[in-house]
Amino acid sequence: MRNIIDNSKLTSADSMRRCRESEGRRKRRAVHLSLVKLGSRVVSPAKNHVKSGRISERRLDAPQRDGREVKTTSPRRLEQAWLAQHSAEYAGAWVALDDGKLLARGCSAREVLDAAKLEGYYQPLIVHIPSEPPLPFGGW
Amino acid sequence: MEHFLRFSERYAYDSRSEGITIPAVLSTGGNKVQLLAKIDTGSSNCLFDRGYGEALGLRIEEGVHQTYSTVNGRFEAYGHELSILVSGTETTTTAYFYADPTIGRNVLGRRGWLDRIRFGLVEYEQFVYLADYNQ
Repeated sequence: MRNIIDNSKLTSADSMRRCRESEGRRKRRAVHLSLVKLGSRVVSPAKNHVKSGRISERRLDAPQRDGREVKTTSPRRLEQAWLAQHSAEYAGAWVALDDGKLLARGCSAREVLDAAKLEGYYQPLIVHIPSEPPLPFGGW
Repeated sequence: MEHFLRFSERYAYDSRSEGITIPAVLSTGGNKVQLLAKIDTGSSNCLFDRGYGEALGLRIEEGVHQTYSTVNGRFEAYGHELSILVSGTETTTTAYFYADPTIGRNVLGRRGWLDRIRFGLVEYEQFVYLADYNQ
């Protein structure tokens, strides 16, 4: 017998609860030795990564216009490469990434953003990895 | 007759991603969140996973309610005023967050983003060209 869930009836809290249940099942199935427990829910492999007071590569490369630094976004190539490699492992999870590394995994954007900030990363890339590989988009 | 456009930015997008995916930073009230969004000329507005709105400290359902139609149905979203920084171009707009937490597609659409910039696309080379419309 299958459980059929009408997604349109789901609330954000329902979604988080399902995520936590799925995270629990995932943890029981496989123990990620490289992941370090941070707080009660978020796992992070980046605890020992030196970052406090570091100057990011992007900061050094920040474009200048008329001698002034111009606001811009990083192309996030390393993070996109990480996603191409690891999306299947983290299906359904929210992740915080920076410098091509996983900083935190959790059940909401807020949770992983806060965890990344605790690690000293203030502007990580936050991604909600789809539960299933994305199908080609049909447009209109 | 030839026509010329001038761009200040060029972004090489990742061919492994579905859609034309580009990093963007949403900011409001001193909070920021970085995400990956797809450029979508078919979308009326900019739409984002509600999780990002919650990370920015927004109460999603207190925004401007809007119903959208799709090819096979409809969905609800709520609009909030915020800034969107893509490459070197920042726009301030009403962006929408999906009511349904299971919808995760982040979209940079026409109103609020494409209508504030000049945009060029060379899919063969996987380059997006961008410039602030006013520059």
